[in-house]
Amino acid sequence: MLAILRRDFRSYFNSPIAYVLIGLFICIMSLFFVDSLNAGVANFSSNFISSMSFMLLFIVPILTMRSFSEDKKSGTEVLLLTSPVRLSQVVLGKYLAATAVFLVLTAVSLVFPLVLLIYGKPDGATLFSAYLGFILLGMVFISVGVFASSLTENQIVAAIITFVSLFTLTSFSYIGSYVGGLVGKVLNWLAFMEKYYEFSAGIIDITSIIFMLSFAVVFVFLTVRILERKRWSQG
Amino acid sequence: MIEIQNLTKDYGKIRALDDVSFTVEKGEIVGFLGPNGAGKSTTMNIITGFISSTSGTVRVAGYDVLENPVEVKKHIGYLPEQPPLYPDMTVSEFLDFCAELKKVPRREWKSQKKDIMELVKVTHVSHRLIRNLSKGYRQRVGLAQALVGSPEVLILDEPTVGLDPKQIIEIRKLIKALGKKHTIILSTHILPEVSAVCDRVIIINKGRIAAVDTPENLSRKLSDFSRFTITVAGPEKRVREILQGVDGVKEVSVGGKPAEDETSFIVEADKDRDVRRPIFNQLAAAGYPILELKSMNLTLEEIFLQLTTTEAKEAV
Amino acid sequence: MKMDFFRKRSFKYGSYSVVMTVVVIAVIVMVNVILGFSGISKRLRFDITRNKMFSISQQSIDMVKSLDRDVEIFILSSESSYSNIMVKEVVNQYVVHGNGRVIGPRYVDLDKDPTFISKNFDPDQVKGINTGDIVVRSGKNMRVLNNQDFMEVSYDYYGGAQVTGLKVEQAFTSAIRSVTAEKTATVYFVSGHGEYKSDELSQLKTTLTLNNYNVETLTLTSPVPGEVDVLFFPSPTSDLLGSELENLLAFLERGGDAVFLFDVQSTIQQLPNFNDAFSRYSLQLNYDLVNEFSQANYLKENWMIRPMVYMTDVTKHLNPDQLFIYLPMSRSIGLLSENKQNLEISPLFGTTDNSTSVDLNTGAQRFGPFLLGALSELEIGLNNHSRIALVGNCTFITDDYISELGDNGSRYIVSILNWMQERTDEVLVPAKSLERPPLNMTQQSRVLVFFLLTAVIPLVIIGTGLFVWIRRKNL
Ligand SMILES: Nc1ncnc2c1ncn2[C@@H]1O[C@H](COP(=O)(O)OP(=O)(O)OP(=O)(O)O)[C@@H](O)[C@H]1O
Ligand SMILES: [Mg+2]
Repeated sequence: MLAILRRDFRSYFNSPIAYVLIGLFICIMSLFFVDSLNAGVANFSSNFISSMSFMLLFIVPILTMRSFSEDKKSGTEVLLLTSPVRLSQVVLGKYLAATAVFLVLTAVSLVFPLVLLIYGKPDGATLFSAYLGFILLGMVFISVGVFASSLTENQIVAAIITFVSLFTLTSFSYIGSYVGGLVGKVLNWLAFMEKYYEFSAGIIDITSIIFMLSFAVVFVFLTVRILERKRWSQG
Repeated sequence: MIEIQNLTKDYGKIRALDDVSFTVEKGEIVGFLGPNGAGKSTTMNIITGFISSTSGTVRVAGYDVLENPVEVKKHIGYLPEQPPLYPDMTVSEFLDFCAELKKVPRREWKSQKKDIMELVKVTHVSHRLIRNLSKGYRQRVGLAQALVGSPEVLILDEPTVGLDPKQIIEIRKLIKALGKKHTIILSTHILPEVSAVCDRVIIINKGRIAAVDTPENLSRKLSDFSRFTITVAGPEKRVREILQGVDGVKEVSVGGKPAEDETSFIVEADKDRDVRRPIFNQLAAAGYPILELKSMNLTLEEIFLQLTTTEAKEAV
Repeated sequence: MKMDFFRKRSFKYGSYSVVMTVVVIAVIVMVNVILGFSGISKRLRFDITRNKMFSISQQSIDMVKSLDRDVEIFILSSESSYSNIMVKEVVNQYVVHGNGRVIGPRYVDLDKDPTFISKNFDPDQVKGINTGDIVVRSGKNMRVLNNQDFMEVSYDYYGGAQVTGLKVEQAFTSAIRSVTAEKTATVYFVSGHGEYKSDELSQLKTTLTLNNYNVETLTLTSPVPGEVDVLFFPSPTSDLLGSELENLLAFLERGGDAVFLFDVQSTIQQLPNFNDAFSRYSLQLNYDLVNEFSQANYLKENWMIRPMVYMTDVTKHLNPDQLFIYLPMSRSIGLLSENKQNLEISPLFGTTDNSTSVDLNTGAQRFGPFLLGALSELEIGLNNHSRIALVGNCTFITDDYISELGDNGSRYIVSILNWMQERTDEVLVPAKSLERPPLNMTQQSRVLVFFLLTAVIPLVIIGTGLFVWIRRKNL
């Protein structure tokens, strides 16, 4: 697992992709961060908070599209699947590699709270929980992306599937309020954005943490099942 | 070491493998021979646990591929048809990754890496990106990858494809040498490769095993008549009559005319009769001297064609 | 036979995989459902904000802990579209600490269930209710809270309003107290002097009952019984008899409170005995009619005054929108210059400079500003006060008026009574400040940071990427 994690992580940083993603993320988020600067307020504006999650909709598909698709295409899938490594470890390695890149991005974005800290006295606890929410949301999104990438050998297709799924996932609370009833309840329950906003407001909900991690686990698990299918299915 | 029983594989409606069974003993080098689409790669993919079979069992080193995939994979080094290489890594990085993947102890790996790179002659490109390597070098890196961790079983799908003739010979030598310690299955289209390297040949056609034997035995067994060429000084027509008159000779054809009054004939005779003596006696009696008499067994190539081509079979 | 065999195997692994997948997902879903829908989840939320934005004070916690009856909280919105995260969290806190007494929040989507209000709520108690409002109910008592109730508003010099804090907790705690409280005080409506009749003031009485006041009637012919807390005079038109004045003064002197409301009278009648009583509080009721000429302070007619409402202890707990009161045909209140040490007077309503009054006796005209209502608090002994409110208008609490111009007037009266009774429904904790931590940057450093964040850092990162890539590209 560590081998795959390390390799994929390096591969992201040996190509320009990770740098470009991080650079663009910082650049675009800075434009929203200016709100805080201009208002002279040492906290994140609600625009900034929602843009962070919105950016993830674009970053994650690009980050995860290569996970399995690239291996399928270049034939290295054989190498992974015929090495003495359990499938779950392979998937976990890939998942954690993408997550690690995402964490690097998150770490670089700490320049924003740093600016607040230098020039003011922000509410550190709230900033912390905002970041916790962001990381959890990223982990959920990445699990969906890795899953999508295990379905196809075409990276573009994988990215599109991921984007569409994430978009649907994030609009669940809107859909939920239209649908109503039990379906609406379930959709509300799955509304990650709400949970993310709660975190960013400074509320840490242990059930939300468990829920989001479970969601990621389910998708990682489903990815393992998808890949394992190849081992026993008829053709 | 490898036991394969009643292996069948369907791709939808296409039956790629049909009831294939064979075993490979420890230390053997087995050649997998067959035309395109015969099912060689499919068999190898199933043995290595990359894809599933529709039915049948595969056991490697006593472990069932389906039940104990990780154990089986520990024993196998696999070079698939398309070498599994990450183009964005250098050769050295890639081999390190493979070693980690196969859990080669770090201390062993240092010397092993050096050995492997020297064996397949990639030491001087070890710091180059795989993307920028030539086809032959990529093939070599692929082979190196299979050797990482010196697994007991090597499964090599067309290992010499894309190599230059000198390399081909070297790799063959290498495989032969590896065969002393490892059990090897290799697939190829190149027949001399099989006779040069393999202890045993499995000829496969349209998903069925057509023949299994040593290269020599195969040649011998498959010739159900002996053939030889004979060059005689004398008029072609007369000599032919004499040859055809000999008891046991089945067919005579002209193979060439080395000189004005010399003719080469290809004679096919019953396998259990030695027709050489009567031919000598009769030609001598007729006053036509035999300039050359050469036994001519079937080449593997011809056997292969016979076994795998329908026309050839009908001719037999 | 072979087909059967492979079917069996594929089936074996296939069904194993499916079963395993289903089981694993089911277990994970179960765990989350149990966590999410049981009470545990409410306890697993932590407010980590620096000023405890989403937490309630110990005072409120103690209050809900000691509840002896159930309180239900309804949010009149669909759950997903209700986005006031602070209300959600605060309600959650009451539920967590309420030992099962606080139930909810129950979300009611009025679009889906338009008859919910009429089926479940008493129309008298939820007047003017709207989507997005919140109902706190206990038994038959209910209280409506809206966003206005949650905001602390401060006014600048020019009357501009600004939200400076949030008092969600304060609103909920007082609502819960009020719906669960026993009736604590009784308001005695005095009759016998041509006052408004009971059926002309039914709305006011309902409002008083809703606010936990008992309503009774009384005459002053005999001494005022000891259990009487407040006397209420809805516009007497004739004066007190001498004996009645004695009874009233006796009541006031032992610390009793009274509210006097007087409409303009067409008959020229002096009320010397009333004024005698008021003079003890340095107040005086004038026999005049006030006209307002400042555009913003009257409605159509000059006598339809929208008075300036002074910020006092009475208005402290009213919403800004509840301060819109019209006083049709009012008389002015005079302040007697007599300076008494143990007396404190605070104005309630007033007119602008641009107003006049006509004395109905003499026809003399005076110019404003005028006082239209005032409070006076007389200290009688240690911790004993007598408080009166005198307002030169009573029309603004009648049913006729309320049906046309709303019930802000009666709410205001309740506020006066609460002040008199020293009701501490209100929560003492300060509102949560909306003030945000400031960022001390010079314009220069702002530009520098902006430049650093939008250009330098991204370019350095992307540049590093290109460098790494190009260097490796030709390896
Ligand atoms: N993924 C697949 N889907 C459908 N059919 C396939 C698939 N892979 C292989 N086949 C079919 O299975 C048969 C055997 O293929 P295989 O690749 O094993 O042949 P091969 O002996 O390796 O041929 P070659 O010498 O060309 O490498 C072929 O008919 C091929 O078309
Ligand atoms: Mg092949």
